[in-house]
Amino acid sequence: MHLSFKRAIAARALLFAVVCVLSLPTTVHTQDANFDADRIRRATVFVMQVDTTGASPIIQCAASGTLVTRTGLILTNAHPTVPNNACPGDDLIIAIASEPDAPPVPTFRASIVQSNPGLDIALLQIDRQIDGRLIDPTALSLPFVELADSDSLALDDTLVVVGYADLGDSSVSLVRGTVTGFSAEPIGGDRAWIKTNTVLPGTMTGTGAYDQSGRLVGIPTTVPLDQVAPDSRCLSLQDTNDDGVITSGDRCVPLGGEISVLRPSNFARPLFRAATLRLDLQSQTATVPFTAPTGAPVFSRLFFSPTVNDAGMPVSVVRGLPAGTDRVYLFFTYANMTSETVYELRVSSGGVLNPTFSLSAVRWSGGRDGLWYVGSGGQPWSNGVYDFTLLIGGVVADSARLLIGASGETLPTFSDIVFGIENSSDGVVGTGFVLPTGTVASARFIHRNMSPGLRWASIWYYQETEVLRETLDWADGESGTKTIRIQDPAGLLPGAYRLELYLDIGQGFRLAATSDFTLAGTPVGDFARIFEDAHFTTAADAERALTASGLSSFPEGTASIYALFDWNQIRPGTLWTMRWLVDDEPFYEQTLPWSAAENGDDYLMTLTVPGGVPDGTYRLELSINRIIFAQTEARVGIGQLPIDRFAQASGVQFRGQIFDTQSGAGISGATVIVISDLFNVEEFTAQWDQEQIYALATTDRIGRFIVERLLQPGAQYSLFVIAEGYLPISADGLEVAPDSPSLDIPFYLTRG
Amino acid sequence: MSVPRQALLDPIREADPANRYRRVWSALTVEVVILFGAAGLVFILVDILRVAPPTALVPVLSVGMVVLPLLLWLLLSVLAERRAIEPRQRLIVVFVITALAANAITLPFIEGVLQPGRWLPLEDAINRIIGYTFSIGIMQETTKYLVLRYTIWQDLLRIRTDAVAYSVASALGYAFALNIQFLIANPGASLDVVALRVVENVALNLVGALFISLGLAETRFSTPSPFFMTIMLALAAFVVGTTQPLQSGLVNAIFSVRGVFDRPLVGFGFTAALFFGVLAMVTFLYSAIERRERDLAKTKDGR
Amino acid sequence: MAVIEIGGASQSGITQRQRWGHYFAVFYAAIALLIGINLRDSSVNAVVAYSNTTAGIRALYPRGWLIDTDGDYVFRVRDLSAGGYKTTIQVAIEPVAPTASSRNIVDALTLARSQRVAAYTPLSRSPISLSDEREALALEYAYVEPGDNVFLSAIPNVVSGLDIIVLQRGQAIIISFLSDSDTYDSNYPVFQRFLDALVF
Repeated sequence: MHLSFKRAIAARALLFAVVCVLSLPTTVHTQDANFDADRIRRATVFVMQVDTTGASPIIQCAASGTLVTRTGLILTNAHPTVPNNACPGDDLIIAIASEPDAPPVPTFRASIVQSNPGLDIALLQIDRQIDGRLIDPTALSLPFVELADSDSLALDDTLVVVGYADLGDSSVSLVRGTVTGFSAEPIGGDRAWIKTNTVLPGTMTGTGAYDQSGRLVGIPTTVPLDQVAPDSRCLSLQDTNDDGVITSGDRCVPLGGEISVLRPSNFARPLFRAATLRLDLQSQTATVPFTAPTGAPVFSRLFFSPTVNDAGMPVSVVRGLPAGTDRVYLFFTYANMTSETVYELRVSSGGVLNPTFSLSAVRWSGGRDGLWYVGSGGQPWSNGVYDFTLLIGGVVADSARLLIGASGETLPTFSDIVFGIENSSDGVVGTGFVLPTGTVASARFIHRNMSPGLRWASIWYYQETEVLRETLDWADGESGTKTIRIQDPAGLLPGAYRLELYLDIGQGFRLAATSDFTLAGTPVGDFARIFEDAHFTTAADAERALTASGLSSFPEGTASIYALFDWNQIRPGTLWTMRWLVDDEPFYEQTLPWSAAENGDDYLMTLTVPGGVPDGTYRLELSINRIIFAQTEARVGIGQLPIDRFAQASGVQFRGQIFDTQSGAGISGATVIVISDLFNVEEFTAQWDQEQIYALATTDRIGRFIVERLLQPGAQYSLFVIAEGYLPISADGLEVAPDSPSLDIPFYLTRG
Repeated sequence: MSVPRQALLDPIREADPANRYRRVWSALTVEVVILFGAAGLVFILVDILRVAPPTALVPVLSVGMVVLPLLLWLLLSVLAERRAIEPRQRLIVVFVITALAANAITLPFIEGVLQPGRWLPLEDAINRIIGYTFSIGIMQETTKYLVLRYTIWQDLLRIRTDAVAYSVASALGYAFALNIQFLIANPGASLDVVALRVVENVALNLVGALFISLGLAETRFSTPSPFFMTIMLALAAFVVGTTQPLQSGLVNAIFSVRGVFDRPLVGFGFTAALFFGVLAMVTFLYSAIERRERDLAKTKDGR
Repeated sequence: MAVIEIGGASQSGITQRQRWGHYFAVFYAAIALLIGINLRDSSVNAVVAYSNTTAGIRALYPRGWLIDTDGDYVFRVRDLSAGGYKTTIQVAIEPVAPTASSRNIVDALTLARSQRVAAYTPLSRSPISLSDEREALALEYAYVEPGDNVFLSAIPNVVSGLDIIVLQRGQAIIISFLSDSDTYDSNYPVFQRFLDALVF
């Protein structure tokens, strides 16, 4: 009874002490005490892609990465990990630094579980020891970081990038910077890229950039230039040609250029979700095999627009912008592009490169052919003449010039082109940029400052080929809207169309406005029925799924579910988007050129998960040009994903060292048991049940231990430390303060 | 048969049998006080004042600490016997035989068969006391008892305090074996830890030995119950069995956010209190018994 | 102070009372030692009952060992106070083909383990009879277990293992005993008692 009383006193004293005492200082100059630099360092890994076909692995490419789950899921770039021309390796080595001041040591091997080469994001799963032995990932308990909502970042926010600066003896580095801007692209809207004033070394590609709370908001991204490119950096480390010396004749590891852009972490979320849930989505429908483009990638038709509409189209085309402009979008047409194509935008003024508005070399994330833009919004542009130069593979592809600070003269303009079907009241109705097939397609646009007799022209294109051109004298009012149309009594073909409007204001015809639209689907009123009968089902195999009836709920543990839909009038090559969500969180989103027949039934997708599809509400959305044309939903099990109690990366790290009172030496093999807040030591020692344990740790040869599962503030844990031959130490009611970074406690055990 | 080494100047005093034998209680007290003092001094210097001895000297000083009780005993007790008219014989023999028996039989048996470290630390307080009593306690005290019983019992117990002197020798021998074993098992132990450990081992063994000596003395010089020796042996084992878990429990750390540190001074203080308490009690018992016999003798003479 | 002297050899010898006093003391010491050994055995050999009606298994496992049922086994108990490798006893059930022999099961175990553990080395394989006269196969092996935290510097442990494999009703019941090789022999009696008390 005396011991229980003593324990109660000790627990209360401890609670008071923990609440009062601020413990160890952090080594990063941040103002947020939640920034656990030590845990982030330990969660940062070095990734080496190797070629294992020879006698010993040869390093092909290298990058940094970040552990994002305790079971060994690593977030990094795709370009140094997914096999490609520049990085042709077949295995991945994960190096981890066991000491904070030491370089990383190869410790594990990993496999790619999710990747998006266009976004240049990959998720790797640690699945083997360095010697190739299999690992059960669920048995791992590695430090990890959480993904933050990168949309919450604002200009001038502080970022801390943690990664490996080189392939040498450097330990993991922390580099501080600020957000200097955001770059826009169709794939990510106004936040496709985060710009920072910090210039990072190339080996930091793939690592993590953190906000003040220590959550991952961005992934520094660059791309190694091909080894033979004129300004590539490449490090020879191994004698790959077996000539006894390491020279430039040996394979070198490309390190890439300096990095100043980050891919926002929100892009990784769908991949992360799919990887953590082990969702495997496969298309079962026969499609036309993808053929690599035969020509070289090309950029052309560069023009500027001050804004972008919801469909990703330019609102208008300008040659200059007034002073105080804070939005500029460079549009261009692209052709023969692949996900391995490297492109770059250099914006310079007066011959001086402006890094704020430039985009360093990155992988192409668009389709093969189409219209693209790179822009920035929210950052003011100084007056001046800006040269925009696009490069492909380090070689200049095209360029354009923009004047900012142009005089505010009121020139005639066209803008805001939308497409649809004309109704009886001369309005244009429809979705705006996706029209059903028919005989007529109408376009309405806004005109300003027009004068009668002004020469203007409209050119319609179908699949990049001009199909209609009209050159007219302006006969409508000064400002207002105008509708023009293209028609074909035999019916307009489905596919990609473009309208260009030109104005001749005395210097020849100049592009004044342009927009693309798509024709697809059968008309239902003024709208297009492109996808229909979308439904989920389950069956023993894909064959039977084609005839199985649709279901909206599935039992728990269903091995696989099928999604089917029919389609109408989709020309091969039309960009369409399939998006899968579970509990309203996307885990798959791909925009691809349509590669099946133009019309058909039962486009089949299979979702399988080893061990059964997790409970949740699954939704499939089918869209073209960002407009959803079909969706379907189904529930598996209780309709909600189970809570992962290990998913929290926030909390307090508990570590320490256990010593022998008499010898002063560390005790190897001692066990530190953190008992969950539902039980106390007495209850635990009465049952000794794993279910009662929150976390376990064992000391190493010098008595050190680390409890990898973080302690949560507000929970009252119990502690039990045992070692053979020693009196145990126990305590109940341990509660950590919310703002303590970590606990590092020495223990002295007495022999019993 | 003792031969007077030297005659006292005062023949009357010489004739008093009490002056013919070395006084054991005072010597024992002085030895233990010096030992506790030395250990305390070492602890203060090393642990509190952080006076770190040169690393190369630490093993030497540690051995010195282990040997210190032996040296004190040799100086204050064994050598002093030579100045006594009736010196005690075979003190060193008893020391050596006990040390050898402990090292060769008792300690290996405890570690190999009883394995207290394997089951006792995780037991609750009561079970630990019982466990220690019936394992380490009984083995330890029985060893000392048997050595005494079969080396000095027949010939060398002339007065009651002879039992004390020989029991002290046996206790020091056992403690010496324990301390040597501790030093070998923990070569990296710091000097303060060695000092405290040495003193605690010596004191605990002396406590048990005092009870054994009481049993031997009474059995030899009185006519107690045949179970008296058994009771003393049991009492000695119980005191050892209780002290060890209590002391390590007191020394054992309490959890706190700054660290989980042991409390060696608490254990040290407990051991000191125990020893001097038992010493006082046993001394009192001895003197009470002797006073009673004196009174009985006077009564017989007076008759 | 009156001092009673008994000089030289004891002329009177040991009295009967003294002799019996000595005998009683020795007898008590022997009894006390037996009590101590018994206390030790009852503590070391204390057991806790486990029952799994679905798997049809009843067992008595050592008290103070941590039990968990959350893996690819029926249950597993570990001695967390052990230094080095935490001594483990585990009972697992694997489905077997009707025509499978014990050799097939052993091969499957060997293949799986050699992929997951370092330096997996099968040592011996021999038929045995359990306490209830059932035939079983005993498979001895060893492997190296590294530390479980890459951020610590733990010395790998050499683990000795013993599988008792019993084929029954289309299933293989695999009773595994894993111990640090240094303490394997001293821990083995624990497993032996567990095996004798196991009902499946």
